Amino acid sequence: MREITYLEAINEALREAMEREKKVFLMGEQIGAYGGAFKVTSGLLQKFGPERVMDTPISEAAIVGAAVGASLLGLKPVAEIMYMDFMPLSMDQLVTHAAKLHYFSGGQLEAGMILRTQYSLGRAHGAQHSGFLPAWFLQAPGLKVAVPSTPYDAKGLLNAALKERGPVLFVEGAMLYKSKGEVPEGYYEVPFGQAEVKRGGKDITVVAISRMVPEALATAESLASSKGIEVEVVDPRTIQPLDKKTIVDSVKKTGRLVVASDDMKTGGVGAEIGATVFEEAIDYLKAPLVRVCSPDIPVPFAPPLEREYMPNAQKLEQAIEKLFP
Amino acid sequence: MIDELELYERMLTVRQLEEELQKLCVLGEAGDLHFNKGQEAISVGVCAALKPTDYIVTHHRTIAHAIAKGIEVRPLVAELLGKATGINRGVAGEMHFTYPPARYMFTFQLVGTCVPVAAGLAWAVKNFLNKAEIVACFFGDAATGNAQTHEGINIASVRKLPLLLICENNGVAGNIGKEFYLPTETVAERALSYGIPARTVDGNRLDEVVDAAGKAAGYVREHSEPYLVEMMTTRLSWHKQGMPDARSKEEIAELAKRDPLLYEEKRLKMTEAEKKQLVKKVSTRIQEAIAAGRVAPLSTFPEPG
Repeated sequence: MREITYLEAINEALREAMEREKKVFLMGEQIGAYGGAFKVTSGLLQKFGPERVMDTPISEAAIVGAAVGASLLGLKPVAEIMYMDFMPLSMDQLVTHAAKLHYFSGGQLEAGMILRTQYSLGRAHGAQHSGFLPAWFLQAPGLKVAVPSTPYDAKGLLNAALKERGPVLFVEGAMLYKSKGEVPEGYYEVPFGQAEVKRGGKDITVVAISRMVPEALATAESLASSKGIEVEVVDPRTIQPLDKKTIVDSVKKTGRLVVASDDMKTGGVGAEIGATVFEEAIDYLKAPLVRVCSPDIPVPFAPPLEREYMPNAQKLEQAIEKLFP
Repeated sequence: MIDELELYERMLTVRQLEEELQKLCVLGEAGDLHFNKGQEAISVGVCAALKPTDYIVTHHRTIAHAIAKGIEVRPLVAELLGKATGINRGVAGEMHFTYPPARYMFTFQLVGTCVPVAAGLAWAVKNFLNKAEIVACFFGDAATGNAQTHEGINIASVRKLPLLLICENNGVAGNIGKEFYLPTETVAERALSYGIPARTVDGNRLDEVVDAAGKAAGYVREHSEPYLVEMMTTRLSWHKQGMPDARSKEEIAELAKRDPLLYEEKRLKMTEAEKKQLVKKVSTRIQEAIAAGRVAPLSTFPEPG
């Protein structure tokens, strides 16, 4: 099968969706002729015109608010918020309005919109351009959250997101944009709430999120050859809904759990995954839960400091080794 | 042709319904309530000037807008009582109405947040539905201190969206006066900075409201760009149930001289007997709605599971 990049896979999913359905349109800051800050929407203005690729003012609240409004009339807006750190400016519309609309309206209305954003940890973009903040969105019933780690998942999840009746937050990893992988031409879906075991193993479960998925696979490779430890890498792919069953089944098999994610440890996605396993499989655990995440401080700016700050394959490997004395 | 007596009856319905709902709040049967008392001419007049197919989104003083857009009293009361027969199956309450059949699209409790959503609706109407319909957005003068109002008007102006902006200027933000939130004399003059036309009218005079809204709606429809109408009005009630007013009784009594119901009664040369008859008619309808609401089943939405 052909290989394309994660970025190309998202661009292709958007282009094909816009060809398929007139109700799909894009909005965001410099997403038109410029093609977006990261070039994800490159070429789409030229193909679909300014009514379907809307350059907006720097108005994060209004971008999402207008997407909510357009979705009320049956359109499928795909809004781009340039950095995930800007989401607090949009959160009111996404969390307080869009996510609750189905409930408020007694099921009459849905804010069927997608909000795409990315996090840039690893690119030395500093503490207001690097944050990976997915756990904020776990307390917003009605909102779904996708965190694709591969080009295949990125296109398939975006296709599935476009079919969702309610709002979806689609979080891209900027460090993954250039990563390559097999992606089918044409339409397919990766369903929400379905984790994938990216690598099978019997000794320990690593639930890895977004950029930490390829890191965890590197760790697994290394530990298999150096120590004979067989790591099972589970990628939830969506954290809301979360495929608890695949995670719990894996832990029941391996008896050990590590969560690897770029978000901060305290109150992060790992806390929710850990709590889920405690609720449903505590008797199977042979070792304490370990979370390999970012520390609870703002992201440093200088590249050497940022490297020190970030979780990575090596840190994950050290954490796992401690569980096998 | 607009039936002026019918519009008066709608204003009266809002006034009486809020009074009755307040009693139900005190009894613990209905939830929180934000009052529109004194501002009824705006919602009723503007919705009369719109086409039934035009869309509205609005702020937190919702009862008036719901009645003005033609929603029936009975399912509205049921909604506030949390009943399955309510317009939103009893889960929206007063705070979060939506009623797409009447093109009442959403209610926004967070001040100012309705404006960008209204802009998005207008974008959809213009670019995708290609319809001659417009979107009317109601917000208060205090909402202009909120960033989302600015972002919403700005994007609507840049994109020339068919958006009628109705500012209900009651001169208060909850319980503080305009000196704490509005740096200009009027809200209308702020429209200049967005490059959109605006005017200020007396929002307590139904005939002026209907006229101004009709002309502004016509402009929005014809030119496909936003128009702001600032309607000067008076909040004659508390901001909300359980939050006593900071203004003195004397201050409110002074404002009450501009009561839009009194103005309309005079303008229509209504006799006491005619008024009494209307009050009775409206009151009966409300009491019937309350009686029906009380015996309706409680909401079970969303179904558990």
